[in-house]
Amino acid sequence: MLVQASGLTKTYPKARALDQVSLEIREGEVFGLFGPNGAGKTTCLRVLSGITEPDAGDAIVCGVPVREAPNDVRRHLGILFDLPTPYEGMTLSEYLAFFARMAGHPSASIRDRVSWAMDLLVIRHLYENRIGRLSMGERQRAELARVLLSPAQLLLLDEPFSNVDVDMRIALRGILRDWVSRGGSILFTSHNLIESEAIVDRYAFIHLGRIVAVGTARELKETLLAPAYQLEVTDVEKAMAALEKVPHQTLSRGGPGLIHIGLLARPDAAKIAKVLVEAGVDLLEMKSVGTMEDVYARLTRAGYGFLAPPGGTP
Amino acid sequence: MEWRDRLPLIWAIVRKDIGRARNAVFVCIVIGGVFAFLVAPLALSSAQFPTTFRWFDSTLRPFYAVSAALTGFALAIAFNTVHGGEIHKGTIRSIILYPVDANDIAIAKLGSTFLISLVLTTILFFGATAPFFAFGVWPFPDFLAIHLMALGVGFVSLATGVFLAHVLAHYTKRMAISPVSLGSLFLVGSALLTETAANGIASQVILLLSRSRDQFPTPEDFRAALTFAQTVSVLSPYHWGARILSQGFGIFPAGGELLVTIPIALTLLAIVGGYVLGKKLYLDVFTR
Repeated sequence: MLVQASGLTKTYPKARALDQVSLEIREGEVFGLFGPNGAGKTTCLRVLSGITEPDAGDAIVCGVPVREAPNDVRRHLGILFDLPTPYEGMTLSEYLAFFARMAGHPSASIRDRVSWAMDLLVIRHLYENRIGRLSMGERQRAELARVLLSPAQLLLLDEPFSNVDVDMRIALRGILRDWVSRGGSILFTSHNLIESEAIVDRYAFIHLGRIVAVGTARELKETLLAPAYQLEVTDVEKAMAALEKVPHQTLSRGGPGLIHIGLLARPDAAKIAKVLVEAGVDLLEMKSVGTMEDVYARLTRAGYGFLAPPGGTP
Repeated sequence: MEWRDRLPLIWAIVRKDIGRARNAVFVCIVIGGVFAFLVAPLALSSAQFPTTFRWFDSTLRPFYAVSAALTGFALAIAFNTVHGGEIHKGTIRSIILYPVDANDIAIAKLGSTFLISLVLTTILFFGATAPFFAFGVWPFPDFLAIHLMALGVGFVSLATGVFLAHVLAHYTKRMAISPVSLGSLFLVGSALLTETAANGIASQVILLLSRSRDQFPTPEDFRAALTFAQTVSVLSPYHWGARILSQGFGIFPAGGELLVTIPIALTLLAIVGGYVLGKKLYLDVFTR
């Protein structure tokens, strides 16, 4: 385990930012932390990186007990917080060279490391530009280059894709997956759950400082979402009539040849194919339609969300 | 973390900070050059009448005061720029993402401040007076000692405030008074508590009080002001430096050092205490 946190609690004068937060992050995984604004995501990252002192609880990050050695733990981390404030008067190459030194690279290798990071983030052409003159997207890429210069085991990334254009987002996902494939891990926060499905291995949802659900996308969908499917069939009329025999919450037509069905129980999914075959309708495609945004919506819904997920935390 | 891991990070910060002083160095060279040009005739005419230079209390005081003022201003401005500016702009948020502690930041910022102040004030002080040394009117080693002493004791004052800010932050869990504010306060306090400054302030107070009472101040009043100034001056690192210089230059004999040992011990205690407690500080004290 790269991160083992238990019972982390942090209270500010006007709010409880973390409330008994416990989580584990394995080697070689991308762990996403999601929640509304003010849920405690950034505080969680700050506590795990030894920058903010927790009121209670403890964490071991990359083998370092954070409360005992809060400043040592950052030797193993690459950190990007939301709303970075870079040195606007420095050129990009000066900026990255400075942080390569701060990351502990020896002087002899700094030029190579900076070149590597600039190439990776496609910002080499900006190397003589002052940071203050870069666009927001270019600054974000500069910040990501700074983070990737760290010889880190774990990256803590707060909103890493904000202000970055689509091409770069796709490239970044590849860069970060590559990082993970080499044994590193990533803990990142984002508000973009759709995009996160392309990169996150496990999710944690946090609200009012409490972790309310943890698991893979599949686990969370199975646990929290009613089973819903989109069916593509040869004969919609006959299929609609046949599907009435399957216990369901919703049944509706989609586009041409498409039907949406929400079941009462997941095991009933097996009955769909059976009743369609019996009715002489060909089932061309059947796919689950729940997204992580639906999971989030389910968790945030009043009267349910953020009390406890059914069956407890996976 | 071991020192061998910390020193490269401290040096990286120092290197970044001193790189920002390039323009200031250029400005100081120009100012120093202009002053040197203006005082050159005076130095040349003084050299026409060769005499052996001797130090007196009345000659040491003004030179030391000029150097103390120059180095004090430089230290305060440089520290405010490299550390205060970093906190104000928020760029310190990037530095604290790396494995440094509050002491590393304090040492790096004090280090850059010292180097920048040393370079700038040396250019100004010795640039402006260069003709006097070139023509052999003034002894260069003595003036170098005055300059380095003023810079050194000013630096001690600044460092005391900076590390004392760590002590306060440790107990209040926030940066109750920033290192920049407390360091500057100690620097100004140290200058005001010198015998000359304290005597000047006390004399002004006596004059104002006597005017309000509509009577002239007596010689006893001024003697009391001097006694007060001499008493409080033991608290000032500038005073300690002046004593060392005056004894080194043979103006005053050694003696009476016992009085300054207590303030020196307290200063050391503040620095050591600030360092020890600084190790335990969480770095969000710089951003809250």
